[in-house]
Amino acid sequence: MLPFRATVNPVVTRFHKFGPDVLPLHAELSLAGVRCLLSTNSKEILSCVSHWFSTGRYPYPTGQPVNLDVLVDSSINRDPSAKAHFRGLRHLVFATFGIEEVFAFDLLRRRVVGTISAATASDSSFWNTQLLPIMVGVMGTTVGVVPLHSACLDRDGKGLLIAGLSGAGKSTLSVALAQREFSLVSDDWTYVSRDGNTDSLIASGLSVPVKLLPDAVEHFAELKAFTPKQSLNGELAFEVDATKVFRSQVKSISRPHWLIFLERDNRPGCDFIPYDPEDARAFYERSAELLPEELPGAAATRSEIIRMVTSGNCFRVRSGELPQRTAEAIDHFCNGA
Amino acid sequence: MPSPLKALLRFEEEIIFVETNDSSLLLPLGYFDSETTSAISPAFHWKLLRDADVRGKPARATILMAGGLLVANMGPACLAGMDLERKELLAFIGGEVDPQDYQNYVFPVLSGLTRFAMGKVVGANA
Repeated sequence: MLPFRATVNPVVTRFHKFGPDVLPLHAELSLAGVRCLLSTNSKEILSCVSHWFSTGRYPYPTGQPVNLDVLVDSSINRDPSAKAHFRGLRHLVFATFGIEEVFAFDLLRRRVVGTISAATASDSSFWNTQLLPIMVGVMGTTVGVVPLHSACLDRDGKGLLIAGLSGAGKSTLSVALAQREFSLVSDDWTYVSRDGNTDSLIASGLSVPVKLLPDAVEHFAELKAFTPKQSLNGELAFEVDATKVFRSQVKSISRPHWLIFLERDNRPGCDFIPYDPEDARAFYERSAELLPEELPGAAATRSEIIRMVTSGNCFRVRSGELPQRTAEAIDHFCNGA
Repeated sequence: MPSPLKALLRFEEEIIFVETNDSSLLLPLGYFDSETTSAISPAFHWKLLRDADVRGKPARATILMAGGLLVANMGPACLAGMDLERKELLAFIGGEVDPQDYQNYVFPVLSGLTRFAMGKVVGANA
């Protein structure tokens, strides 16, 4: 038998076999209900993700953990200008960051493996605004945590989910609501799981920066001090900390209570129209990522959570008003609902 | 991403069932079609997807082995994963990877992953 590199030489430059000997450092993270067992050879990574260490901060842990194995290889170069690149089929999803840095997500084994440069290992922004949210988004459904493309705000423990097509203004409206009596849980992706075996749901956010398109500066003067930058999906956007820039209250969890589908309208006014739960459910099911057929349980759990989310107070909000006026109308609506 | 083209590939003593969306990825393999070999039970399953939107050439590969998974990263132009337990290989191959790149760089890596899965390779001590 031949060693691996010899058989494919000269096109293989590195071979990393993951195991306890090469990944001696460990931590348990709690990420929006996803329990993550991190193994690595980098103290810098542990430092960057220490905010997420499990200390009982998430009161509703789900069952199976996701294993995240990350090897830092000092011979790898970071390409700071590289955009994230994703590909996936069946149970395997790949994410590359430049030429040499890669993560592979194995949905069947609930395992993520990756190798990165020392520079990326110590980049807190990479971990907290890119890799960990991506991991929860890709792997969450396999452990009962369903990512929904919706903003979430909280008022007095009641969650307001805001769905809508891309460009409908979810993030802008979220910030406008967070300048009123609402606390911001998430402006883009909300992770929903069941509260143990009860019939209630928990909605979580990951405290990533609020992402606002460049025209949001017309509605929020606070943004004039910032410059839009290219975001993970290639869009030009402001990515700012809502607590610092807008002095918003932020919460990590809420309980879904209202669901609105935001639609832009050319006519003035803001209309609240009851939305058929079947249509709402179809919206979320259509936008959900395909799961491998070997995970029928995960697909069933996701469908059940979507059914529960859409079975309550569900409305279409057609607004031709500015975000602040729409937020005011929603505020009044939630007061009366 | 659909992969309507199917073929059987003789690889050393084994037969591999190959699915792809690009016939040019089959041509260098010396395949034979499934009609004449329907009785053969393939030992491996390859899914080779031409990723036309992805630019660039394949870089030299980094291989990760973690439990039942082998990953070959050659940059966005070629990403491959071999599930050792399921004996399935999935590869995304960029639009600018030409037949020469494929034969000289990509196919040797895919072959290496498959040999490893066959137990004909001992590991990374080279």
